[in-house]
Amino acid sequence: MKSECNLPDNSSEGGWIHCPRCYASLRDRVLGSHEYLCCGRCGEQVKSLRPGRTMIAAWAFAMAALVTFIPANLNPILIFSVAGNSQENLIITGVRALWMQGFQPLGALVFFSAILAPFFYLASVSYVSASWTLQLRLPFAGAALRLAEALESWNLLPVFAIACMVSVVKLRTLGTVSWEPGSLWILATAVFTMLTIQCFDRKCAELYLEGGK
Amino acid sequence: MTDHLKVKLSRALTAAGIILYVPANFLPVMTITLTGQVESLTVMGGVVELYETGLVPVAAVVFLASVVVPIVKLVSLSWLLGLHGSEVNQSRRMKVHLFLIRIGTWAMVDIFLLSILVAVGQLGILASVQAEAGALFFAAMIICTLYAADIYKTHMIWQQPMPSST
Repeated sequence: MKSECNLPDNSSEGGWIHCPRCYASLRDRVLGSHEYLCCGRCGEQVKSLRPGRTMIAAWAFAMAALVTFIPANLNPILIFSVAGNSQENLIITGVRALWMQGFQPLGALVFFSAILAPFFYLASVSYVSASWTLQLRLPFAGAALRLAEALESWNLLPVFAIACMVSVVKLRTLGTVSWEPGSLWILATAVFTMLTIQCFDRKCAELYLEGGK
Repeated sequence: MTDHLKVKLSRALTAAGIILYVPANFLPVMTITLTGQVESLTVMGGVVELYETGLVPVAAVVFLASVVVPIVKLVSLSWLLGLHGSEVNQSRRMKVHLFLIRIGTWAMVDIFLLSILVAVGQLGILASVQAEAGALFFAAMIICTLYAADIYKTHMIWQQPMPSST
């Protein structure tokens, strides 16, 4: 089992590697167990020893986020009522309302960044980290990794959780608002998503997949 | 796509973001109708309204996310892209770029807020919230800045300028 996360020596000169962040050339050398190589130009840790457990944590958090994502979408976030009439609100209700009012691009944007992108991001992260943790060569793991990279900045559930809080405050001036369990599920999903982003080691996964070819 | 082309695209998106910034902030984002009273709010108007109801922390969050973040992004993106290829402040520019990527998505708070408000404001004549054209410009501006910061990679800050004859 590979517990060391070293970047491959991708230069033909031998003994020289490139910093993955700023592409500066660095002299490669053999490192001890708790040493790491720092890029002299941008300060990125180029080589470091990382135990295999980091990917297990990413897998666990991504799975937890996926599980909490289901009730987050099926339960109402809040109930708003004015003069006896009340209205339940799910994530998808906002998408539908924007669509019905003629703002299809906005509806599509909210649908993509609050439902589609978080789901596919979490699914692909758990797929890649499961493949790494179980040492299985699962098909399409490379594609899943690229998908996770592309969607990372579009995963806006934490922002959505803040927006929920603000909306409750704002609606209180218009009528009666009550929190519903859906908002707690969204909060849980947002927290697990942020932990997943923290734990998921893209470089490690890339190296592992490259080694498999 | 070559790095040279990416810089060009990033510049174009930043310029588009600056142009879209004007209608995004001067056109109303939503119209709230409550028991006959009609009120159109711009992005800044929404913040002022929150502040006036005495909810200062919430107003501060919305102000930071939807007023400060877009301005900071547009100004620092123009700074980064304007200095592209020069050797001035390279390590500071890198820190600014990493910071930009981190704060970039928070401007979406306003769009999500609108989607929730529009969803609950469907109680007929009693209360209704209608999205307005300003929201489209605001969303387009945010997408432009998000994409511009995403395309311009950190290592490009350290690149030598392209020779004019390729």
